Amino acid sequence: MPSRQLQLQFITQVHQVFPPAHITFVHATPELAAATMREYQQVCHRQGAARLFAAIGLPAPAVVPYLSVRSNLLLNGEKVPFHVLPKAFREDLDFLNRPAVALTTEQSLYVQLFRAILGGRQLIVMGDFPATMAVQAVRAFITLAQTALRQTTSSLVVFTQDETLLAANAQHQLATPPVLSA
Amino acid sequence: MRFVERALNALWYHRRAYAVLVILVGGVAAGAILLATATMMNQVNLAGFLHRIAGLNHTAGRPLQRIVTQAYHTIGSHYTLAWWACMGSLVLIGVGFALLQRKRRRTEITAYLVMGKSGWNIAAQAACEALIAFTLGFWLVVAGLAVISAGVTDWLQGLNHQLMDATLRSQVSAGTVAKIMQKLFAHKVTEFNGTGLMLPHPDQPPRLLAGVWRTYFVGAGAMMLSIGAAAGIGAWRTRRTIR
Repeated sequence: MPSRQLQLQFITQVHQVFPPAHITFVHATPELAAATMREYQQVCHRQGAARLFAAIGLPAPAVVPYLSVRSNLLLNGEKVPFHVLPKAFREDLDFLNRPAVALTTEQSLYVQLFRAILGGRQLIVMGDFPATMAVQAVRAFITLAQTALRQTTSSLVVFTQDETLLAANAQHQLATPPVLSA
Repeated sequence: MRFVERALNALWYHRRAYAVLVILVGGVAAGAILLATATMMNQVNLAGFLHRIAGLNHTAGRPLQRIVTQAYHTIGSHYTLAWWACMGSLVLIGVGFALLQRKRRRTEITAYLVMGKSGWNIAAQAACEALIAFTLGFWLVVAGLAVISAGVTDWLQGLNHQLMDATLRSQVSAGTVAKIMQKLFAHKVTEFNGTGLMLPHPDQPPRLLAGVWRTYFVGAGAMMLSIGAAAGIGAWRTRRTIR
């Protein structure tokens, strides 16, 4: 079977677990979250779909310091048009043209999410929001992410221990991380 | 396009390190070009000697021809060896540069890997940066040498002659040479004397640098391979830590 078809089949399976164009919140401790994200990555890799997977918000450095924010966003290509990004973000030229050397954790998280979306990654996973992010900032991030995702087929999976976050998104939450079967 | 943009941005971001690299490779490149030029002049001198001794057409010239040709070959092989040593030192400079840079590079390599860029891609970018830095240092040096090429070639010719003198003296005594010379030049009218036979000065000595392109291609290859391979290994090692 051609690998392209295999990939599509796999992504269909993924979308049955995590609905496309939506955020799914999964209750998980940080350790379980890290293990699950690694497991998902390995499953994707085995299915030849490594390029359809992205993990964001990792403690590892995620932006190339000498490229502009815009170049960092487009590093995975522009498989999804740039205009799916929220207007406020897409029109902030000052921010987009700035070198990505001094981004805050929050800004870096936005860059990583939007880069994964633009790169056509279908399964985007992230751990809990950093403790430095205020409740309002988290809410704003979720709103902007939802706006952007709605115009794509990507699914974002957030592993969190935050009960209020889980309760606020009751229709898109899972109590335990589901197993992605190949 | 985006690939080249990345390489250029990285060059600018690491500009201090690259400035040192450009100066280092420029120095080595200057040495290699001088050696290649000296090799070429050595060969021209040997051809001139063989032409002149054939013109004398004397059996006494045979042993002299053998000794002098041998001496020219010895010097030539030393030049060639030194030229390859220059290329080898470019590899060492590349590896040393990559080792000193590895901590600063860790961040961007991790970022590229997290984004799903392959180790090959990272290595290719580093090789591209190395190529640009080497090209810059190399052609700056070539331009500098070309401006003073007359002085440089004269100096190299002098060096060639000194080495020739020393090599000959170590192989055969001055008395023997003088005896052979006497036989060779007996009853002959020539436009040159004994020294002119051994170390011919062409009417127009070559005033050009030689082996520039050869040095450029081999040197660029050495730089790209060493820095590219180091980045590739760095990516491979980093990948193990983040998975």
